[in-house]
Amino acid sequence: MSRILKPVSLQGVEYVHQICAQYFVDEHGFKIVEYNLGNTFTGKIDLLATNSAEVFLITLNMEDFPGALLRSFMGLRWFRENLDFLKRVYPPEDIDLNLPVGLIILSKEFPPEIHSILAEVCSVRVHLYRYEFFGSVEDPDIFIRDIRESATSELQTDQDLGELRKELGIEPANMSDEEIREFQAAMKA
Amino acid sequence: MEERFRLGRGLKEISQVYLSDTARNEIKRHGKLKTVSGPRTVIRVCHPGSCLVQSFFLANLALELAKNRFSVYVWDGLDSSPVGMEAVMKSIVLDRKEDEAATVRLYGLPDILIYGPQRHDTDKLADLVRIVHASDNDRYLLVSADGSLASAMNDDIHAEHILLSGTDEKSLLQCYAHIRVILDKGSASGIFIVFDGVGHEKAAQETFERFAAFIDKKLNYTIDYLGNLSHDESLERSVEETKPLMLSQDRSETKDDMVSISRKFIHSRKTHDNS
Repeated sequence: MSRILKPVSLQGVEYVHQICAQYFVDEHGFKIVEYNLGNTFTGKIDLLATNSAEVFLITLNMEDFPGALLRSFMGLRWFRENLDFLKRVYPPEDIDLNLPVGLIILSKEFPPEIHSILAEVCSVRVHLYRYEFFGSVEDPDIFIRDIRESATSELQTDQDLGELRKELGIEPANMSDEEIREFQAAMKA
Repeated sequence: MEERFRLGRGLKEISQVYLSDTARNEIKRHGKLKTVSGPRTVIRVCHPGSCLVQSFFLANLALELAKNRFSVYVWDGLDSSPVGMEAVMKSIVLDRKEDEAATVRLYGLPDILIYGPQRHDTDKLADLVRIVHASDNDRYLLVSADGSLASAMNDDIHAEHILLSGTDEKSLLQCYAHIRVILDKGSASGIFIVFDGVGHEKAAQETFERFAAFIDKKLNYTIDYLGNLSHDESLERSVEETKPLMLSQDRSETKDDMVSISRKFIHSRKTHDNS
């Protein structure tokens, strides 16, 4: 699912956090419980959210992905170490901290094969969302999408199939657009 | 501290690699793995996404075939590349003259002879095909393709095909395009898929089932799955040392996968023969 929100001020990271929070509330029905929990030395969570089935620790990457990944993992460790404290602070009607925990990372870029790498090494579910800024610095738009949902349809929606044929060197196979789309759908199923 | 070898083990390279300067052309296979005749002993291997993994795979497959007492010829379409077969097996290739085949000679096993378009003309390739077809199915010709679809279209050799591919959508689409061209040309007597570097075997198996079902539906053809070749540091070490992984004494996930894939491939012709 994708969403374009506007306008976004690039002046402050906090404001971008709020915009992303708005995305999760509007698109996924999350409840945002807290902003900026913890600290950068022991573990920090940019957004603490829940959807009544899971607790989400959301990390917004504004720099490099490895740093954000580490920050997300540190945030999880901080969350677990301070769970008793958090249970005293947040009443169950606000957030049920006994629910399974998932990590969410928003980033502009992700390394290739990141889904399979995370599936291999992580004991918690990690959801990845790509965000992009469009427009100008004065009047930017932010575009967010769940790359798990869109991973297989990404080519179809974002990339011209002619370019795709050229990139993969498969023009000689003379595959029609319809055949390629059918292939993509079959692989996604 | 410098590593000291125990007395009685002999030279490290000899004990581990079984190099020999004596030809063993007279060695015949035992006949346990009798192959079917004709094109099933000409194997075209292609990895559209990675020449290095293709050469690595071929080198190890050639060794496994030799281990099963098959003489192996290789036509290396990547011989001008720094990651051609000869390059990835450099530590065990014997010195040779310019126009001769590169030879891998391991003690007690038939030679592996590597030819390529850079040093040999295409008549040589036709000769090799003839030799293999005329043999008593105890010789294999492994053709290392250059990975492009144009090459697949121009290749007139009737062969079995092993395609290596990642499981991401682009790699699979590339693989599908290759299969389409191969089938359009009518040059396949079998197509096998090997997935490259997938984390979970179960996920790889599921992807293969979807991929195979689509090919069956669209192209009315049944492909076979040989397995998933995982990547671990032993692969990197093997490439760095230019010594095929099959010769390593250490166990590793990649080596286990390579052994399993090779055996499944060799076993597939045994099964075919029995049926």
